[in-house]
Amino acid sequence: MNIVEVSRLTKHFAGVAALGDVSFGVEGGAIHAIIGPNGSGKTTLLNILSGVYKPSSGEVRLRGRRIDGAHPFEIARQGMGRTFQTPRPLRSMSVLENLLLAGHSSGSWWRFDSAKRAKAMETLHFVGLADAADSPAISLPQGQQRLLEIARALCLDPQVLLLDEPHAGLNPVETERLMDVIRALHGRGLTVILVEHEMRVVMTLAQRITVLNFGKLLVEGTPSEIQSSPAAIEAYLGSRRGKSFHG
Amino acid sequence: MLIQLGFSGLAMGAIYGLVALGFTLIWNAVGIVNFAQGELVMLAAFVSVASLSQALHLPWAVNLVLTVVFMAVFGLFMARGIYHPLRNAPQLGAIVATLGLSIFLKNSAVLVWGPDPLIDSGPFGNATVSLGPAKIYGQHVLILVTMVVLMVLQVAMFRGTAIGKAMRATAQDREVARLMGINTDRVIALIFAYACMLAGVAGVLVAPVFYVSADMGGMVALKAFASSIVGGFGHVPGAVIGGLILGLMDAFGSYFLSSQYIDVISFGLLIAFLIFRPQGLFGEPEMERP
Amino acid sequence: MGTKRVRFVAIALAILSVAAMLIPNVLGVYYLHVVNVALVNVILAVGLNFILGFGGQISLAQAAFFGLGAYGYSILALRGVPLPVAAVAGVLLAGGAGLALGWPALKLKGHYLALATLGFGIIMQQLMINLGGLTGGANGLSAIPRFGLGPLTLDSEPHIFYLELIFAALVVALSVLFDRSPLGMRARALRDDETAAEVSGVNIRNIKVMLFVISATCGGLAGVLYSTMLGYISPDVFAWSTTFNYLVMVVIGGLGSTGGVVTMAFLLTLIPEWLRFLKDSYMAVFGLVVIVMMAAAPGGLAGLARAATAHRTRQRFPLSRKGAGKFELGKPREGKVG
Repeated sequence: MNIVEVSRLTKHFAGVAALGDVSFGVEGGAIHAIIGPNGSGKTTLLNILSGVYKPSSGEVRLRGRRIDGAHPFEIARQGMGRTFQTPRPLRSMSVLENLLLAGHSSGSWWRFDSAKRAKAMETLHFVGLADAADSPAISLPQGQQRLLEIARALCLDPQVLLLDEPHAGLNPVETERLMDVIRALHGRGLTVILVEHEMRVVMTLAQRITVLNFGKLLVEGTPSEIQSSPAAIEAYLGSRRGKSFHG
Repeated sequence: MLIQLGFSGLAMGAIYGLVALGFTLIWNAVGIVNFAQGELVMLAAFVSVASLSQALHLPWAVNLVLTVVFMAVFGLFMARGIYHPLRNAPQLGAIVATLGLSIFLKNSAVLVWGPDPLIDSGPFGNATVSLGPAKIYGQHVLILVTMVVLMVLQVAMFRGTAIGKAMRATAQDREVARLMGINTDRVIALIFAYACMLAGVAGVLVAPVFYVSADMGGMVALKAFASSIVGGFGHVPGAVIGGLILGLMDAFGSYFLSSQYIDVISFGLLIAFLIFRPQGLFGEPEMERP
Repeated sequence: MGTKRVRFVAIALAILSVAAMLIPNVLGVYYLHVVNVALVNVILAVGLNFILGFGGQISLAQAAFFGLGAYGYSILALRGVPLPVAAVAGVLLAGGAGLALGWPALKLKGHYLALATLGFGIIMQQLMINLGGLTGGANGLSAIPRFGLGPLTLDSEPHIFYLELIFAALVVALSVLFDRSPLGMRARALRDDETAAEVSGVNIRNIKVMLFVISATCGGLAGVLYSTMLGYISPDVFAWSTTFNYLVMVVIGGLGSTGGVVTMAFLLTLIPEWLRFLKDSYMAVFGLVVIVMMAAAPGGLAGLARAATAHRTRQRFPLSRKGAGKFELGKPREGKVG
């Protein structure tokens, strides 16, 4: 059974169909990329998966249980975390506190758990932000904010991580570092659903790719299958500035 | 009787609409809810009645023009002194600041003009016009006529003149307007000035209908907020239409239902709209945002 | 908390308790009364701070909850209901109203919520004025029985002082504990970024309602204490414009800072006394000062305090983009969008 299953997902906004009848499955432990030109519905899909939007019709299942229409916090607590395209740090808190919040978003009202605190520090070490633990979250530069987002989502102890264009705007060094983090997460057995524009990253990291266009599923397959798919090539070269699939 | 109620309801509604229009323009331009809009009307009413009418005995038309000019200048000061320092502040700061302004204006009015309410008979006094069996107050007719003229002029300005188009552009999207070369700071100041001018007209028109007192701003503002919610917050024609609807509701509700509880009813309506149809009659539903 | 900290707190509490014992003897009846009013304001402001400061939700209804507690207690007490029952009923009435308001308010944000809570406040005030048979109308109620338990009655300002001090201390303690707890962290996450909090697992709906109820209950408690302190109440005390005072206490004290809010509550009660010579111009000056404060120091007293210590952070992380104070009041407005 796929860890995430999307069936006939449709979403309308005031008459415009952002997603039309999209179905696909994500295998547990895989790095699964979702790509497509701007406006193809990738972010809408991510928002529905994480519960921020409710679908107009269709189903989403996490480990076999339906989560479409559930509140975002319910989905988060069931083991699916996400990051945002533009990082959303909690402004009044430090880097470490951002992570502590995720770890303590449910459970005891009055007691902080020292085990969760230790896990938060360990996660900071994992993404390389341990030095900045006590600095204000908003003081981090852009690339590190992305890592903070991921670290915060990790403190939910998720099985699935939704990443929304995490490589956008990063320099090559930051890009490489982020790719290492994603590989390490994959090594830990996490399922990563990666919405991305950076083709080199996608082709290098992903085991499976779903291509969206105009809200519909265009084609799905392994990186080499996608690279040789005429439909995918046309969707991309037709609407972007001739950027090829090879980065 | 119905016709009479209708006219008085529309007249009050026109006032609510004018006030609502003022802060709707400010909201569209800079994202601040101007909680002091009612006090601006009060200020204009006092200036018009106390200073221009009672002290200087100026004819009504001159009174109107001078009051509007005064309010326009005040609006420029408001833009510089209140909006400008707060332009990047979070919502709550701006709310508290405009509430502070309303308190300041309300209490300053008492200091300047004394605590007693003023009565002004206006240019028509109690004169009525007969429409069949109904007797309609001249003042109400004046309000409605002024309103129509003003709306026509406003549409002409917004669509026809360069400055009007600049104001519309800035109100729709400040960043894009700036990128197009519009001096948004100056345009925003003008929008504040215009919104205050609208309050000025409202103040002059409403003065003969009510006692002019320092407290009048609060209730007018609240009715105007309700009008705006009903019409669709941020929707320019909606503000006016919402005002007319609320004015008619007030008039007919007071007569047929209960004048004591009319405020409870209108604010109940406000809350009902906020819960069930926050976009009002004409607004667009807010999209869920990621 | 380390043992050094515990000792510090214990000593501070001991000193404060002694001071509290002495205050009624040191101050004359008049100033003791002012302090009593200040304590009521502390409960109101610290209460409002839960929904406004910790939660970042704009509620303009605090005066209405104040009034519900006051009228609830007074109406029942005047009808012979046992005073402890009347007091609890008043508090529960306010808390219940907070629940009734908080639930539908889940959908509303920012200025929409402000307007809805404002409307609620207006409606409550109109009901207080118009339900004359019940509420005494515009004249209000008088000869309200002083709170007492059996043979123990409060018949002097010092007694009122101790009663109010206990409750104020409880509310402040709750606020401080809340602030340091995971629950408080969730509330602050809600304030900082509702969506980010939600996808991090925070049940923001429950938190919002909970904060509303806490704020409303504190308001009701303040209302009961106020009624028993003065012995008479009238609708104009609970006008929505009164909410403005508490709004100022919370915002200028520093959203979410218990210490700042308590300080402002005392200052705003005492300053009018000191500035008596201003007489009628006091409110006008007050309004003006508020405008200036908002423009100059949007973080309030707490923000100023934090900015003073922020330079230390800058020295530790010199390459940071923005090293300034930790407390930011949430995202700036985006004009028409939002």
